[in-house]
Amino acid sequence: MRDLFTLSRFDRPWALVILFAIVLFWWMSRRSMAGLGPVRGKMSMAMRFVVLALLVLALAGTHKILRNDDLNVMYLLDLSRSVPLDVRHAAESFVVESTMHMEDKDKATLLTFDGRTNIEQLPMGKMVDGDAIRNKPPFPDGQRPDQTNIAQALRMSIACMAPGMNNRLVILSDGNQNVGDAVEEAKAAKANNLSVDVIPLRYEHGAEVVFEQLKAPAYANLHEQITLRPIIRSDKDTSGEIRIHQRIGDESKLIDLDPDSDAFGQHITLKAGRNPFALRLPITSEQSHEFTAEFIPDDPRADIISENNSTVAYTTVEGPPKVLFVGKNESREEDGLLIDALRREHIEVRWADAETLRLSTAVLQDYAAIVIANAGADLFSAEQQRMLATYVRDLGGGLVMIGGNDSFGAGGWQGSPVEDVMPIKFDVDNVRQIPKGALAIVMHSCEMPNGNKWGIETAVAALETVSSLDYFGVVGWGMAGFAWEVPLQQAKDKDAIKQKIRGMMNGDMMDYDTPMSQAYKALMSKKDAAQRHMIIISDGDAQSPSAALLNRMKANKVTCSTVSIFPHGSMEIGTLKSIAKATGGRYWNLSKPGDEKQLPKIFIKEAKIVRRPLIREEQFEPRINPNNLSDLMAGIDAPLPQLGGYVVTTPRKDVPDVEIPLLTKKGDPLLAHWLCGSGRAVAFTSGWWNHWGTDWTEWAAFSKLWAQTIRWCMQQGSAANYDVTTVVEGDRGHLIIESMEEGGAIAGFRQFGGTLVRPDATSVPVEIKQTGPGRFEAFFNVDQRGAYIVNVTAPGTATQKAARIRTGVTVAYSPEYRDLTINEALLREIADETDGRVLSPEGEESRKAVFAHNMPDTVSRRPIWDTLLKLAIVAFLFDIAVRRIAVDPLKWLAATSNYVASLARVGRGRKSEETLKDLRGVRERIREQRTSSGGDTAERKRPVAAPPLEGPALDIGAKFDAGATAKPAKDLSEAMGGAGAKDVAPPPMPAPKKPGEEGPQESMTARLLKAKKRAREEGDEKK
Amino acid sequence: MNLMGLRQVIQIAACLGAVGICYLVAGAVVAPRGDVGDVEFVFGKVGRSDGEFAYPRAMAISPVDGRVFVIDKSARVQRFSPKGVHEKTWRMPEWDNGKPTGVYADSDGRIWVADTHYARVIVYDRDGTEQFRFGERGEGPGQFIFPTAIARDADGNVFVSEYGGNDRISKFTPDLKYIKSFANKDSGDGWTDRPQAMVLDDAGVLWVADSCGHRICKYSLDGKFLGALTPMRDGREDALNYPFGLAFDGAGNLLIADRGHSRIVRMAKDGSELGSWGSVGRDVGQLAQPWAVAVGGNGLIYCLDSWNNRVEVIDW
Repeated sequence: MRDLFTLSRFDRPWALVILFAIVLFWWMSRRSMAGLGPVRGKMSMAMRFVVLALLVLALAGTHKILRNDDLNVMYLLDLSRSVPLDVRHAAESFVVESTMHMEDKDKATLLTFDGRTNIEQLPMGKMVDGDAIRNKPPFPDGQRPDQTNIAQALRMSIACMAPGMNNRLVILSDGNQNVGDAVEEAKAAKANNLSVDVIPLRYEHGAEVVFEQLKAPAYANLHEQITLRPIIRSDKDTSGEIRIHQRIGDESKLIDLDPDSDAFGQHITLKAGRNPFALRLPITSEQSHEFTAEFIPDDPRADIISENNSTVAYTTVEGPPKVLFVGKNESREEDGLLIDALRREHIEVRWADAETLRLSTAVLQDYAAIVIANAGADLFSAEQQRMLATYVRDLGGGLVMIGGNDSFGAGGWQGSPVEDVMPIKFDVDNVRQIPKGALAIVMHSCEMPNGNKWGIETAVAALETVSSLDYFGVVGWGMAGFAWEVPLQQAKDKDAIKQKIRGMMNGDMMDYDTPMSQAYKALMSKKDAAQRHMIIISDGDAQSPSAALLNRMKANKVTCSTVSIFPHGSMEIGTLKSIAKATGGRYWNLSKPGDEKQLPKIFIKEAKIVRRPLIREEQFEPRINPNNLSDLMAGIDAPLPQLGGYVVTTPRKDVPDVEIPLLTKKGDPLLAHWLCGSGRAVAFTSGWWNHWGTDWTEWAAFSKLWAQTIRWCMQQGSAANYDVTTVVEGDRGHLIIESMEEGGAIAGFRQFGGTLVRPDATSVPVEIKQTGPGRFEAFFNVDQRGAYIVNVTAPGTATQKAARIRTGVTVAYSPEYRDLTINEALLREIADETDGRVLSPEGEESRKAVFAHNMPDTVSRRPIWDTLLKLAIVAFLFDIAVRRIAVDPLKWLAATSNYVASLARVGRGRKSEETLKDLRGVRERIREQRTSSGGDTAERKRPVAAPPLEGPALDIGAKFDAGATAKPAKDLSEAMGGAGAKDVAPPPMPAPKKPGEEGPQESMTARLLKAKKRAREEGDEKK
Repeated sequence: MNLMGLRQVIQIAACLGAVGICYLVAGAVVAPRGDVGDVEFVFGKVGRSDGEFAYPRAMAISPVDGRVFVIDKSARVQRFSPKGVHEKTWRMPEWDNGKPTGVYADSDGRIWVADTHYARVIVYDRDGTEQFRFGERGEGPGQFIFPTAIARDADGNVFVSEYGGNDRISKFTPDLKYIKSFANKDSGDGWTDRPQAMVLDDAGVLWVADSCGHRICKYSLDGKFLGALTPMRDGREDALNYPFGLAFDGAGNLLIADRGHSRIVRMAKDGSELGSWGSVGRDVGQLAQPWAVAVGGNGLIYCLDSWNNRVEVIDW
């Protein structure tokens, strides 16, 4: 790096105008300098100018200009599935080896990307061991290897540019982007002076068979014969077997396509190119049918990639609406009380165990409503919870949550997506006086890769599950030792607490005893906490706590659960297990990558310990809300049978659409319902019939109330009169709706609204356009593997009923396996757009070229106001020194030479007595000189230390040597004797005299000598 | 000296004093620092290249040639010249379970690494060629859970400290036959709670950093407890707070890496504190969680400034 200092770069150049004040400053200061003599006066004035100039330059925002040819190479490495692993490993080696050619001040930054971009290494030196990229699982969790998003990687790398350096991007990819527009981002890179070199990752798959499409009718009736239409693309002529798997609900079977042979599949011959087929199959059940078709080549060499050999299609079977009742296995009998009541009202209900249910958007399509009865959130994965919310909001489904000791807030549902679609809040209002929970977390660093990250995410997950009334705190080992990173406090501001947790430096604590003692004391200090709980998050290698502490915790009912994250080995697990066992807590072990997915479930279970106070067990008679207009309560009159308990919840504020027809004795919601998005949701906070509701199950109106509730919830509309087709075409889904009037005539204009639910349970609106008489079409992106559901609604018309169409497609394999050749043209275009180069992945020359210093120097600016201020302070002090210290150069020179001479004399052995005699002689000579010449001559020969002026204002020494006439300076300039001195009362100044008319002003020494002389003369006269 | 000269001298002194006070005040307000003047040089920075560290946790100086060996959380052993110039890097054979936390350089030029999470000790020559290894996981005689430090007496007997349940020091013959264990929970007042560092003095006393006991213990070579320098957990603010490193300076005083207080403490053998160096922080002259301290042949003190990923070499 080369520094170039210039004054031409200022943030606020207008401030330089102040420099003209120097002239004014000089004019105002010149009188105050009069007493300093010519040399010191000029020096002092110069110093003041320097101080002023430095201050003005600082104020103007002066910058230092740096010219730099140091290089920061940012590697963007493609980790998507389309890049074969051996090619990727070669690319990794290229990265590591090319960094060996970097110069000392160069830096290497590594980003990896697929559908998501990760910063693997911030700007650093050579990648000696290559740890940043090697030893990683091929497709780590949390990534999106089914996509290639070069555009996002480019965007991220622009954000990672090292300031003040030349930045160069090197993309190692096959260029098969299926998300984003890399060329557009390349233009943005060029605008940021980034050149992008590309290294095409070339590969050859040879012969390949791709299952392109499986068409199935979106809707069918029971016993109808439907036609499946597979389309298979092959590079060469080949042959093999096609098989169809059929899944109905949880049951899957292989369909016998060739009853005449032993094989289940049908043998087919493929020509090079696209090969369509047709297979006829019967619909055997009223549930949705999922068909998976796969192709197995006779010659394995005819097909290299097996992942793209199958695909999936759905057919929804029309029938009476059904309800899915989800409960816990141990309460199946209890759930049967309500299920039987519903069946008596002719509602078709299927019970499912929450723990084993494979909930998916495809499964949800079969049901008009879902009931969750006293099942905790820990039995549902985060994805399933999102799916339930999507089912209600976007797919128009109905959801009913029935209470119990494992439901609502007490079941860990607080903060979940499901809470968002329910008509009540599961948290408790701040004004409510209910016993609180207290949770303290002890965070220890985790040595394994990403261990600390998961530790922090674990703590955040724990925070999410406590209520805003509960106490929450985190103890950690920071730079200054053990400390409350988050002091134990009510979790009212969760965002602020999360920010603190995420900013934690997780230290390697040595023992558990100290932090646990701190946490224990803090938990015990919260007197209004009904539940006190501690969680230790650790890799397990700290020292065990003392038995005394564990005993105290047990005695005071402070439970402690422990979570080992990637522990070192079995011994560490033992320590954490024993802590949990001794205090009545639970032990959780996340021992390998992937286990962290359990974290949300773990913390819901842990939070349930803290949230037990939400369960209120007391007999009460439900009150009918006097403002009730609910359809659910039609024909239901008071008095209602007693209930034995409920879960405390809070009505939604400022939401007028929520109806709460039933209340508890204390006015808490008992039954509430609302319309949410395109679906409906109901909450009943009691339940748990064998414990709280025995009177209810024997109540005559029990089945009526619940049948009305469930029917209200069920989705409305039908797909009759519509012919719906959904297929995948390349990286797009294609929806076609053909609408007919009653009687078969082609329908006229209709307005359809659509929502697409993606495999990750996110939803986006879909625009459905009319493309012909009675024909409507929509396209949507399918860039991930999984099921895509489109929910289409249309209001009823005079000639047509309201429509609700749910259809979808499944992308069975990654889009990465669809394009099987490198897109080198795209990579070249990126390089051309940014004046970059196309480098070969092979050869030493390419490796050297990555760090070639052939880019123009970077010019960067660095503000230097702080340096200018420091210099100003030094100059200011020097100015004071010049004015306060009168140095006589001649005298100091003489003294120095005398000293040197004396040293020389000592060196020759002269006695100190002789030196003293010499000094006395000098003094006597000076005295005689002064006596004979009246002192003026001698005084004229040297400048004086202090001005002989009378009066305080211009007496510079007054600030330090306050005499009888001195008074405090009013401001700085006055204190300095500067320009401001003009404003005070003018001192009695002696009349100005021409140079030479009078000698220099007398110093105090001179005055003393005069006085001494006068005294001696007076003495002589007396004699 | 006449009055004139005296006045000048006073004025100069006053100005210099004012400048000094300004400097001290500015220094105290802007960036509290340790005694930067003691720092001779610093080497290492964060990173994974040669000469860079990823949370270094063990350091030893060879008594043979003054070379410095540092092990970090990337499981690399790096060798430096006494001036801090990188010379050699090698890696531990395995690191998935965890990385070493202790290293000892013997008078034969060998490097003994406490491979903590593999319950063993691996001995290398100074170029990283493995000479031999010993130890296995367990709680029995001669077995380890988490070995932390190694020391050798004049007769070549080997001492290995460990924690994780065993919390003891095991003594081996020069040919690594198990002799006995001490400083464990059967040792009365002499039990240690995570012994993290050991050093032998000329008188044949083994000094042990009882890290979670927050004290320094001393033992005879046959394992007899001879006393402790700091009362255990006495609650004083200035008491040792997780001592993690031990060394002797040229005057025979103990140097202690007081990790919890981010400082180096100098203590006489009778336990009287002779001073401390460093304060918690990122600047040169400050420390962040020092895991080890060692004295070079040049008399300089090498502080392993773990959280700052560097070694600060001080003349103190």
